[in-house]
Amino acid sequence: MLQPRAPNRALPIAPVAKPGARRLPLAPETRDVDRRFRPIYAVWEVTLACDLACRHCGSRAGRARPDELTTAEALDLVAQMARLGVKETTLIGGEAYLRPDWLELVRAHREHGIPVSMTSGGRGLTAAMLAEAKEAGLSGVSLSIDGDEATHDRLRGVAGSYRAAMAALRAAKELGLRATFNTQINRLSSPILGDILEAVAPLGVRGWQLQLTVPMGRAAEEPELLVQPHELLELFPRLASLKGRCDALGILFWPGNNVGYFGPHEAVLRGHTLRGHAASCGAGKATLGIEASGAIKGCPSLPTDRWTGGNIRDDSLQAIWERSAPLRYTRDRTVEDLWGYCRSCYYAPECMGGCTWTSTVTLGRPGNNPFCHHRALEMDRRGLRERVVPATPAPGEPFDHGTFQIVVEPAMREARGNP
Amino acid sequence: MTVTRAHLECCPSCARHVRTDEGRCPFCGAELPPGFRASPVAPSPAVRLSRAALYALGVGALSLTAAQGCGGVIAGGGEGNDGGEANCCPPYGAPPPFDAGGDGDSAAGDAGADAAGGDGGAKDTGSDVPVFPVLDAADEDTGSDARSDVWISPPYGAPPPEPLPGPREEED
Repeated sequence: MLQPRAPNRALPIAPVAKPGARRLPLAPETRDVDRRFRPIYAVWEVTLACDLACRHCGSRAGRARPDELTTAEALDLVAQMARLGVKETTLIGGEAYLRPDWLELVRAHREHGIPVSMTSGGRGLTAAMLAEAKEAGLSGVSLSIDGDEATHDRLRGVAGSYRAAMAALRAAKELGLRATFNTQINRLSSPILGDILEAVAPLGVRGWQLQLTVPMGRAAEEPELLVQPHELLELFPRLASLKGRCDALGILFWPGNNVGYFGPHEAVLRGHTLRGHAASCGAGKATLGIEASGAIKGCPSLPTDRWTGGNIRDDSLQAIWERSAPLRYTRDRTVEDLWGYCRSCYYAPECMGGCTWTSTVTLGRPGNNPFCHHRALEMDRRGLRERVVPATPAPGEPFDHGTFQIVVEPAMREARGNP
Repeated sequence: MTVTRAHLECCPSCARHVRTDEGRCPFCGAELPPGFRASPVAPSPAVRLSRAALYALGVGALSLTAAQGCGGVIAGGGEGNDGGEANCCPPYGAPPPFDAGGDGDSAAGDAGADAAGGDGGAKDTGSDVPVFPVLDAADEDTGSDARSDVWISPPYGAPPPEPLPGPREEED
């Protein structure tokens, strides 16, 4: 197990993002299938400026982008989101509160009838700011809590960030905002997930979202942080147990899009979904990602270069949503677009390789996702296990990634205590 | 290759999701009971729903399937959800951890506010927000991934769904 140690990073550690791609091609026609899907949920990076230095930050946040949307452009985008049918937005960054006009964006959402929340590291999110945000129309806030104090501060790169986040969570609750928290699952936090829950639960939080740390941005440079695919065999029974604990505490357990898929605990972990199990990636089908430069993606986590469909400065949101190839990807692909293990998986028609983001940043392209409980179980049944090892480094830009290779090797069952 | 969307239910023996056209569970080998093939398919909502409404619907379906023994298949699960290995369905009547009905509203209310689609095109509901239908069942067997997924996979950092908004005074 990795041991937390004192953070030792200086701010800022981020490069300046290159300007967003412009004038990207759009298909000449909108198809029926493109009209059938509309974004329900938008996640909007309103600035890349950040006051933390997180080791796992996929966007390498720190400095604002050189070409972030003006207030007028951002307000117009809110109106376009409303016209397209967006039903909910979460503001992220960087840190959303570092954008001077962020409360104007909150108010605009309220005026357009779109509920808006924010996800934050909370380092500078004071009670006074939260009170202003609530007054502007913010309905909820999710704070990132990635460990106990030592672990969290190591991962977030700044001493005191744990206390600040917990204080923000407490303040949000006291103000009557819907307070939830989210946690990265990696080799530092994984062993203490239960401790994290017990520390945060007394604050009165209403939900807990968990995600696997994936090798994007800075996390690509710290592969020792990653939970290995074979370690999901140990992780998922614990997640199921934590779900039970959350039920008892009245906290909604909310597994993220890369926590899956279809193992024996699926019905427990995703019993709240209509089908009782995961479905395929919703990028470009139900979710919308927006970068501060106006770049439009199907999911906020997807790498910028490959997955930007267009820029709001060049085309309307509706045109980009309907006619850009990156946003059409999940609408058009078939099982034949999958590869590797996922291509012939029993669950392929439903799962389609799970999280597009995770697969892309790990192996360089979507459609084959080694971070899968079912897959780990099948490997184990054959006496095998999978491990990912770095192959090519990330270039060091926001939203970048390197590539990893999958090593298939004999399972070490004795080490896990299995027969 | 044409891929038919699988209808998956929990194996009563091992809790793995299994296609309902299977005779035996491919994971544990258990013979699947006659009622397995007749398991009801969770209906896709005929309208676009918010995350909160989808959550409320899911919890409702969960209660229903638990009462039926997971679609007539699973009878177990026990009173408490201890995350046990074969606990396919959380206990009947388990309330949502937060009030998905929000400010006195309900999923049905939200659906009703949006319910105008379903016949193949956008409709004007009287508000500025066009309402679009989701795919119907006939659209699903296309081999593509373009289906009416009712699961909005939460991106990184995405908090659980907002409580449903109260009635919008300015609309309709």
